[in-house]
Amino acid sequence: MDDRLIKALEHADYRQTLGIERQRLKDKAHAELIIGYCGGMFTVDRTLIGFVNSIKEYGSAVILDDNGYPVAIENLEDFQARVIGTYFEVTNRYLTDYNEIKQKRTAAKLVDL
Amino acid sequence: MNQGCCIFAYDGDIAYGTQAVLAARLVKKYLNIPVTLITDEDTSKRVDHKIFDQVIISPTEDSANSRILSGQTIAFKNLNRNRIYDLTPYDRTLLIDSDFLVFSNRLKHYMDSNYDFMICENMKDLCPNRSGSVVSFSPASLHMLWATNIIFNKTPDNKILFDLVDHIRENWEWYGVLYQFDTRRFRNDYAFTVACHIMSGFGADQYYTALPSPLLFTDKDSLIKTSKKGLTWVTGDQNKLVKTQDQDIHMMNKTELLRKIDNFFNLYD
Repeated sequence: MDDRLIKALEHADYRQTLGIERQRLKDKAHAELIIGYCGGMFTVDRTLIGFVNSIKEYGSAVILDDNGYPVAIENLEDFQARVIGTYFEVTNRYLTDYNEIKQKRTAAKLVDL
Repeated sequence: MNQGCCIFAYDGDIAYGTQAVLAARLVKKYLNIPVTLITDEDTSKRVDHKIFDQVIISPTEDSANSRILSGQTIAFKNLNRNRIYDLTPYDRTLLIDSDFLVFSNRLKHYMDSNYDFMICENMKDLCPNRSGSVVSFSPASLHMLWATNIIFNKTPDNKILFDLVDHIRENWEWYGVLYQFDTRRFRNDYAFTVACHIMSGFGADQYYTALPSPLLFTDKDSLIKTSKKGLTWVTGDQNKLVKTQDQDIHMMNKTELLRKIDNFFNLYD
């Protein structure tokens, strides 16, 4: 087989595996950003962080969870700490994993073979 | 409210009991909740009871159910899943298939939520863009729910739902015509989907809350490496390489799971 084609196919294999691994990390991070709090389920994202930050001074509030159901949050400060803590923990891990796969330049290395 | 996990396992052509031991071990490691095995006498004798907090013997009628797995026809028993409502020793129960492998604490969040009935809406395929994980009965019918994992409280409404699943099983052909699904074998996924649809007021409301989507493996994908850093797979159709880590897995390739089960046990001893 033509060397040029062999190299291109090797690269295609690598990009295919890289694409799968990127998607996998994204799905994993998204799943880890969902938390349970006071019986409701909340996806931690920039919108939730900003919203909680803006109402924190009220001490307590009813917040709609991911399914649109009202959840009474008695301690907004604690909720904020949990939300931000989760965001930092998950996104930092995501970044570490993402940087790790970026440095791997073959399909086999991407999957630890 | 006490909470725990239940796993049904009836040995047949596949050693479901052995799978259940692994599934239970992972539930304890990642979710830290008690686990009950529901099984028959024969399977119970073959299974190591140490990992289970309780073993409940509940014979099931011999099933003519079968599926094609790696080119072979495999018989299996799945007709009494709806009896979980009466059998579970817990107020809040996580019901999982014996081939559902927990590798994260995600379900713990859902166990601690207030929702009375939760079921999987989707599975994420091991390979993005590969079809197979989104299933509809037919273009004009329902989107299938996966009974692979269910979380429920003992409530009067849920009692009605689980009894309804039994009724649907007994009238399988009729519901197959009504909801346009393949009736050649009984599938709990179909029965729970129909039951949730009826319980929702025929789609007027939503009876269930969605659980997170685990990864789905078809019966063609192979596990080629297990380590503390993750699992490495090669997909059956296209020979793509995939690595997974800290993600729950519905490993439908049961023969592959049993072939590699010692690797898992060694990893989690």
